[in-house]
Amino acid sequence: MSTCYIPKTVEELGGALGHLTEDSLILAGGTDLVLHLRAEHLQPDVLLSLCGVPQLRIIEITSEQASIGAMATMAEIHKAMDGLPDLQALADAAGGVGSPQIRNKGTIGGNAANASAAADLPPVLWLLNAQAEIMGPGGVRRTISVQELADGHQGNTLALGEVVLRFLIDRTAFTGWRSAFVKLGHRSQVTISRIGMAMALLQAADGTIQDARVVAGAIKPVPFPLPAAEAILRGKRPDPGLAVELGETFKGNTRRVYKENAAKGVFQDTLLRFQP
Amino acid sequence: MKLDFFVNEEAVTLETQPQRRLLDILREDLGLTGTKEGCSEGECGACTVLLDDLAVHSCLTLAAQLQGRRVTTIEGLEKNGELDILQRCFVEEIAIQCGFCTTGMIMSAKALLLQNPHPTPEEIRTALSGNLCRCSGYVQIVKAVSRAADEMGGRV
Repeated sequence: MSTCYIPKTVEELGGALGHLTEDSLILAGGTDLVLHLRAEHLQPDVLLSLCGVPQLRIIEITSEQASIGAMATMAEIHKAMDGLPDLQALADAAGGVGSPQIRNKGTIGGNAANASAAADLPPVLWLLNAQAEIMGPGGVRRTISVQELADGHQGNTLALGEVVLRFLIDRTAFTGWRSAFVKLGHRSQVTISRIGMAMALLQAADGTIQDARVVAGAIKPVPFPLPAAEAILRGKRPDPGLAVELGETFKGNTRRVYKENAAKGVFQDTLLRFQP
Repeated sequence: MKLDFFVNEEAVTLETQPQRRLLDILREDLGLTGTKEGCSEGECGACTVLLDDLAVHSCLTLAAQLQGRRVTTIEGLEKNGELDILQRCFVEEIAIQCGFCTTGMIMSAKALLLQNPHPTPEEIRTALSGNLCRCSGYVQIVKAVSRAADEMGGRV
């Protein structure tokens, strides 16, 4: 029989983390974990539910920083970020995950820590150079980049007894930038990404791209930065006609040949989001 | 674990396992069999209930997530022997064929109207995108939700 901890504060959580073993499970939204529990007949010695800590759900956005609690749901993130030009990609990604039911429960912390190659939020978190604040047993905290959070094999680098508390985005680094996320799936809703394209552009008043960042998801086990695509974009306008050239940057980077071709369409859809 | 939560506005206290699914608690422990088990993996939406007024899958919700929360099931919509307007519109628009998806559909629609009393057909389709119906084809379902919204006139 499992022991269940449902801490109510971050301090209580720090204490509970000390009780976790290799056989324990941490429950966030549960939209992935419950499937694993049932499919693999898991019998954790400890089940730690993060649902009782209100502080983990807080989304705080100032002109300098966005702080997103690990237990903030996809629906909450979509609502909070939608319409903020630099953070729009995060709103797009969160708003396109699964179904309304999944978005009401699935969390950013679970999405990042679970680290599926097809997860939609990690490419955006990489795009925006997010940091992850982590807490371990006894409440010990450390902060790492989201790039360091991924272990490269669809897992995370969290040590035993560690959880992500929140994600931090330095908005001052993206002053004047706009971002967007476009995903390619088998259908328009309730679909898993085959390509997730996260793009951020800094444009001059006449539309010329002064700087660009591009990170693709669902191509490799971890999000895939595309410096070659960024180089193509710099100095040009976000003309959808660039899509073919941009799509060429996928060549040799995916085992799925259809994705090399499909990338052109995804680039086109993404560039359309940056039209005046 | 001792679980204290609310089901259809009534306080419920249960001794249960933290890994027990809300779906099983509703159907087996509380006898509320209006909530249906379809795919058991969050794809079909048949098990949709409201958790603090938001649509969620009861098959992916565990007892360990329910402490102090408010659950609303299809049984909670009827008031004083009168069907909820949504339920009546589903009947009158013949938005039901086999009926298995219907309770989940209605709960997703209820969640939508609680947040957005005047949805567009597109917003209705998005709200119901996580609910699969394999016999009716959705046209009557969207019409029923649209009509319910009109009849409610902003009241939910």
